[in-house]
Amino acid sequence: MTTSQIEKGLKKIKSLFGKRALDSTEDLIIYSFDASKKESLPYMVVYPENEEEISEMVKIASEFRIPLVPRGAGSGFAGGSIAKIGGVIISSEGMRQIKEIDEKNMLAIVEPGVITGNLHRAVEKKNLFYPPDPASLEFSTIGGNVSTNAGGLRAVKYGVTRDYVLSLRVVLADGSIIKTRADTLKDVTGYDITGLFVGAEGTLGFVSEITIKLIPKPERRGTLLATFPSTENAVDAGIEIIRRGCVPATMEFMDRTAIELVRSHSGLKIPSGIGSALLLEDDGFEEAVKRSLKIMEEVCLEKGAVEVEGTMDEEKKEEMWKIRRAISPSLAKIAPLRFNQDVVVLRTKIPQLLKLAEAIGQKHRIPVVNFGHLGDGNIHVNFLFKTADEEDRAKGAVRELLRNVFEMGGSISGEHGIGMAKLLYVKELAPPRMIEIMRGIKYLFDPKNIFNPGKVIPRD
Amino acid sequence: MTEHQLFEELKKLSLKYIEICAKCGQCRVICPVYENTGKEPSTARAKISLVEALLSERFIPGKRFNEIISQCTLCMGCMEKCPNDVRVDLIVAVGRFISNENHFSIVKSLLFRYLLMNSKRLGFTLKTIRPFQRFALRNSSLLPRLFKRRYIPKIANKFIREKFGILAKAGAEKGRITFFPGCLLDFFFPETGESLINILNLSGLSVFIPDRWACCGIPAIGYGDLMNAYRMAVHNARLLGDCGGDLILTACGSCGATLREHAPFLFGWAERKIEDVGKRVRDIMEFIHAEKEIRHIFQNINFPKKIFYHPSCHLKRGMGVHGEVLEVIKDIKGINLTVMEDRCCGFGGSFNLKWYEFSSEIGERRVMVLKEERPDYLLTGSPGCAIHFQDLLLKNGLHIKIVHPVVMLKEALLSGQKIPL
Repeated sequence: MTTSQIEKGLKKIKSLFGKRALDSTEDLIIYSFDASKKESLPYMVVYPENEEEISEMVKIASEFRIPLVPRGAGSGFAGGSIAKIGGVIISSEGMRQIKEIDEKNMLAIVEPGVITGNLHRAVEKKNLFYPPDPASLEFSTIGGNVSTNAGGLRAVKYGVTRDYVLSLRVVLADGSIIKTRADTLKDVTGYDITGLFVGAEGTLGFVSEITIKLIPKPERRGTLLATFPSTENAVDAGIEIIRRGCVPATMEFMDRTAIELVRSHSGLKIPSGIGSALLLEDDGFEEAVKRSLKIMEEVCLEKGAVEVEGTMDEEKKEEMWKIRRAISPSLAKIAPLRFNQDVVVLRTKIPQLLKLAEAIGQKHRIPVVNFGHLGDGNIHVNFLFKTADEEDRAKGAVRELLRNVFEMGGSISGEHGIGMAKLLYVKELAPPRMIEIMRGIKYLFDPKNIFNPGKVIPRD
Repeated sequence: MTEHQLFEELKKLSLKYIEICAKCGQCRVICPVYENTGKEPSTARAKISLVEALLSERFIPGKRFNEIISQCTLCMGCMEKCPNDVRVDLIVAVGRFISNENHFSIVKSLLFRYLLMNSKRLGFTLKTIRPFQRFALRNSSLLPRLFKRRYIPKIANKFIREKFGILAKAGAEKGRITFFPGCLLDFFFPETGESLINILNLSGLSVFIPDRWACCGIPAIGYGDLMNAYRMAVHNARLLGDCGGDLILTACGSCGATLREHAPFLFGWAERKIEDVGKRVRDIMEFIHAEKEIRHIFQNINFPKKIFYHPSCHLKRGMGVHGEVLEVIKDIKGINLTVMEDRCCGFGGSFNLKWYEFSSEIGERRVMVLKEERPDYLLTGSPGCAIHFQDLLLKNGLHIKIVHPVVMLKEALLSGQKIPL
């Protein structure tokens, strides 16, 4: 397609959206990046307000072969919302409505631009609960969460975004609009098309409406903080707690370096010489939470915990969470930039993963800090850097880590997605036949490669 | 110091912070502007990315840049959320500095370069226009367009200096302390300064009020006129540096934050005195909190009132003064205190002037709770917030007394019943 053809198409899109289409240099710069620190200028940014508009635009884009890049809050770590080869950013910021909260059927129908934290508050007011809680929930959007199949701290007990998506309305590359499934709890008419769109990072179409499954809001929450002399103790305790029938809502792990950093940079009172720590939380009926706390405490002590404290008191809980929340700001104090990896391994392989991360950090002379979701094996391995030279070395460390994780039978991304940041690793590590199948799916939905080109699936 | 030198230094400082911005997006969480628009261009990281592009000369700023960079109240909420402690206030000010270069305005240079540089000159000018202001306020058709349909604080009948002279002497003098009134307090809200002086005098402290101070500089910083903000900072540092005594009191969160935090941060490298003076600055409520004897006066008073407190961004985030204020207020018996949501009221000085509707929409969100609760007093530590709230309350037909906490303290002293011991 020639430049003048693209310009013609852009003109049409602009007249479709009027003031809700932006193309000043300023706006394009603002929409050129996300939290991955990669950047590329789009041609235009539009704020659609309904799916008919999007459908119209998709038809134009398809005719003139203009790439379309769906974008929520632009808080992704993988560059999924960046217009890699130019194109029009479809921002969901104009679609912010919670259309319905059905209390009796326990579901909610929402537009993609709803901020996840706002959804949490809205349903919790009605004594309902939407469990997925990615760390970015106060600013990321539900559309973005669906597109990356976001996880969160509560995934060990409640699962990830996919587990709460009943159905989607999607605008496809030919401009047609589909609903992927009935809003019922069960529906096995054919393939699981909904699942294809969850985690597709906007490469298959634009998700314009989401029906979300809700559950009753747990009555109480109990929190327990345990410190251990070594990593192995903590991992053993974590595995055994679940074996004993108590699946905690949260099982956050912090390694020695993470704790030391928090201790020296946050002003929180933490004893020195701790090998690792677990922050456990369970929710449910009061009696059940008490029982869970008891089991968690027993197991932690059995597995050699130095100190264990469980509580249902709000203030004390807050104190415990402060330590976990202080990790990121404390990291920033020693190195403002980092590659935050979201690798996943089987629970039993976590000690092996942590040793590996340590060794890689030493080899590349890059500080490494590990913390994250022990319960589901999703550990955030962070390589810290400041200078360009360190950044290069950190990149080398990431490469080595991902290769090794793959060899351990784990996954290179548990919740951030592939976007453009991990495309190379998919090409290198994923079985060729799997890539072929994914290409086939992409072709079926989007033969002209209009939606978010250059993401998720590597090129030949 | 030439304007060019100043720019180069501040550019260097900004780049240091721009570099460590991780573009994570957390900055939007309590941004009042984003709360209203819900769109990325309102976020701090968007502004940072634009200033970054500008400083590396990747584009020429146009109308849209001016629009985006001016849509910030400088509330520092984003800085509180930022895990990397990026100084968004500096970056926005530098952005405005650049965007202003092409917009020389005679009114603004008259204001910043001439009037706000000298309190005596400003006082004299305000006194001269006072009768005209009174007349115009009665016949609103005479007001310039900018000031129509909004609350305008009246130029006071008597300024602080006119009432107290250079030294407000305590009956039995135990010590002396310096008070920096600032423009709004001295010329528009002298009762705040008066209450401060009365309370300090009562506790045996004489209050020294310097002559010919300059504006603290916050309006100039907000407008991006960093050269004049620098001149003001230097002027005040020299003036206050020569005042004897230890502490310098303010009763305006904006002045306090500027003298103690912003000016030393922005200009401390050029003039050490700015930093030295900054270290001596205390907010009046912070001071009372630390002085057991003064605090004690309020602990035996009963003042059964329903009070709402709006944490001024400059006082809370700028000066870091918050708990102290609440504790002093709570000392008084019978007070029913509610602390309002810790979010910017939407004033933001030049932001309010340029984007009045926008600013009001933000404010309306804060006023909702007042409509329901109708407290006796709304307290806030910055006159800027007070002006904005007054405007909003008038529009909503609400009558709530908006004052600085120190004014309420004085009223509690006057009308409050002593608790029988």
